[in-house]
Amino acid sequence: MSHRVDEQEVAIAEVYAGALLQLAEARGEGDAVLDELVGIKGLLDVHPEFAEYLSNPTVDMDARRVAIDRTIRGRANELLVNTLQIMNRRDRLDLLPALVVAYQRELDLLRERESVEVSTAVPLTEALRERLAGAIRKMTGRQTRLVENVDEELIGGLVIKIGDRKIDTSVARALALLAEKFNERASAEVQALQRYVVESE
Amino acid sequence: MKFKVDEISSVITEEIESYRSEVDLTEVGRVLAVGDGIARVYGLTNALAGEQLEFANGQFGQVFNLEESSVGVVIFGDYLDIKEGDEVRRTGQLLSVPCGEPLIGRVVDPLGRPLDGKGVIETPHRRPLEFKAPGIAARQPVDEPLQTGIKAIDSMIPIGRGQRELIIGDRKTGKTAIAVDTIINQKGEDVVCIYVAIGLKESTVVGVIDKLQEHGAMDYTIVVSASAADPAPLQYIAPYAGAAMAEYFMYGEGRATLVVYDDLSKQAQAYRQLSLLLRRPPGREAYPGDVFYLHSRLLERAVKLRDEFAVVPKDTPESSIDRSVARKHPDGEKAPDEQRPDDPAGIFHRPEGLERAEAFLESLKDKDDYRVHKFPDSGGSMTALPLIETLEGEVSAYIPTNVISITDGQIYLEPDLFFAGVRPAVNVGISVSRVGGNAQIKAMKKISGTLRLDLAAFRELEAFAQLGTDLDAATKRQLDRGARMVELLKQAQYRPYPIEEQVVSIFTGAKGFLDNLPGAKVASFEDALLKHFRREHPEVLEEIREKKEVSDDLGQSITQIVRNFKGHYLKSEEG
Repeated sequence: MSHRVDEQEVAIAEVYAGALLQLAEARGEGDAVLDELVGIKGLLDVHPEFAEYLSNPTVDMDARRVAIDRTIRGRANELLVNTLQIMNRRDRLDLLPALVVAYQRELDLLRERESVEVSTAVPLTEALRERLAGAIRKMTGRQTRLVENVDEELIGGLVIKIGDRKIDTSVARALALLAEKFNERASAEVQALQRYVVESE
Repeated sequence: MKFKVDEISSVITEEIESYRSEVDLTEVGRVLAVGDGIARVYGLTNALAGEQLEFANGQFGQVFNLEESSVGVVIFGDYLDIKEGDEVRRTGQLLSVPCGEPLIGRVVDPLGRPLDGKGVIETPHRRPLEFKAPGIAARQPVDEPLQTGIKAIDSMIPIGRGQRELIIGDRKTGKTAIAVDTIINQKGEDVVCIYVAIGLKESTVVGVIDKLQEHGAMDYTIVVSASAADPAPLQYIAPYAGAAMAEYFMYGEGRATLVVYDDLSKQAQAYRQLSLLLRRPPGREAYPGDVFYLHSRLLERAVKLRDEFAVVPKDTPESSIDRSVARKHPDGEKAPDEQRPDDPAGIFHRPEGLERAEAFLESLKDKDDYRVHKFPDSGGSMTALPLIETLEGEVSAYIPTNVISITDGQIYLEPDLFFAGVRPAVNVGISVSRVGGNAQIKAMKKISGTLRLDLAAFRELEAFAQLGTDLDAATKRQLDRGARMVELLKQAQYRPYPIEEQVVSIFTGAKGFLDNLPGAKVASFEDALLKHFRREHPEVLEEIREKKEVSDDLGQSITQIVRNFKGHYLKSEEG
């Protein structure tokens, strides 16, 4: 996920996500709704003008309501469409990306799944992915959902983020720590008045 | 110029070889919003209140507010390159500062980072910024003087080691001058001094450091500076940093320390700024509700710790702080009063503890194998001199009244006195020291006894003097005496008087030797008199210094010397 979602928006979206999830779960459709949400998000990414249409306050609310019904009802879960209509009425459709994130989090909580962000310099292979998921599962004792991220600046190694905790074994971090050590040693040598210079004749 | 390449590369190789790659496990959060020296951070669910945090750009911050899904953080430094979405790491520790011997003589910021360009400060010791003040049992009443060297103060508003004495007055009335003179006067007294500059102009701080250096005070002083240009969070923690550094010497080495907070009004303003930005509800004058606690917890840390004695084996070294070698009294609780220790481990406290320990020693059959030992890490003290600036002399404003109720007395400085030429501009009538005579040497107590009354009477009669009516002889005498004493108490800046010279000076005035001198001549007479004593009768000064009291015989010889000197002085003035 390359765009950082605004946490304050997610906090508001949690209200809608929580309600939607509760109703969906009651019908056994919790996961299905998530897939659809991700689908809609994907749609918005590909058609930014649709995203703009949804979030622009100058668009007439009623017209939007009709448009949503015509394009999405019947193709998506009824509860989801209702939610979108309510959000439209409250002028909160700009929170749609945040809604997806909030719903994902609420579902993870419900299923006692830990969302784990993994950053690597090169994409994970299937074998690595399985080993990683297994190791994290052993560590946390819960199901995991890996969110993968490729960051070349790491050079090598892994950065794993589980909730608040971050495990950084990347080469970039090791180099940074080494650089710090060099700086400290350099100050210590200067303080000790060591001379590394040969006086010229 | 060539570099010793081999040596340099061997150092680098050494560092690389000894590098241990560890799994870097930290707890992180993300910056939601940043600005004005504060940041809101998402995550950090396990962060402690007051914990130190590290930002991606290396700046430090402290957890100020714990909210449902975010944490309010104050940033100790430049926040301009912290961006939304930046990572914030927990350090797992409460905020602490480096302390110890290497800090003496240095100028540092409240986090202990050097500001004087004299290189890195290497010290293994750290102390937490917030520390619980010792309870009642660990304390001892204040009974040792902390001489300021200022006649008006040492005679009538004496300060003791472990006391909190507030210096309060309008701007430009000489508050800092009193504090600086006090620090200068601690030369040779084995008192570690710490000057905390909060919210002052950098040029002012440089001026103070310069003066301290000039008078050799930097040999025993630490300067902690959070100037007006520094962010509010640094100004907020500066006094606590100063207190923590003093506590190292007090608890660890049993030494006397002096901390000057210049000034707490600015710390309160910085705290107000932080609290309002982090949405804490404002109270009176927009200060947060806990602004009293801000100052009370700081000033309660100024204490006089109790001395601890014990009967120990004779060969125990003087520097030992091992309390387990103390000989326990065989009768324990039932021991006779004059020998009983204060705790089951055989430790004796409070000043009379020494006598009881000695009595216990005497009672032992094998007393020659033992001696009475004072633990060198006990009996330390921290004296606090907070400064508060009032506006238009308004001492009943919020912050001044708060701090007045916390401290053990206050020294009022008034602009009227200042401009009338009375400097230091101390209003001795309303200034008070709640420790009082307990913090004075006997000599000073004796001669300053009537001083306050004389000055009070003088002030009452001053109004009459203005009327120019014919006054009776007694009244005239009071006026003359009072006026001369006021002249006597005037003092130049950066010229603290040793206590024995103060005693001689005030003795001279109290005995009436100045009454028939013109007011303008009092200062030069005093100067010449003290020079005379220093040159011709140093043994008198020595005796006062050593014995700390003026016996009747000594009083008579001083009287004689002054009388003779005055005779010569008047003759030479005429001639």
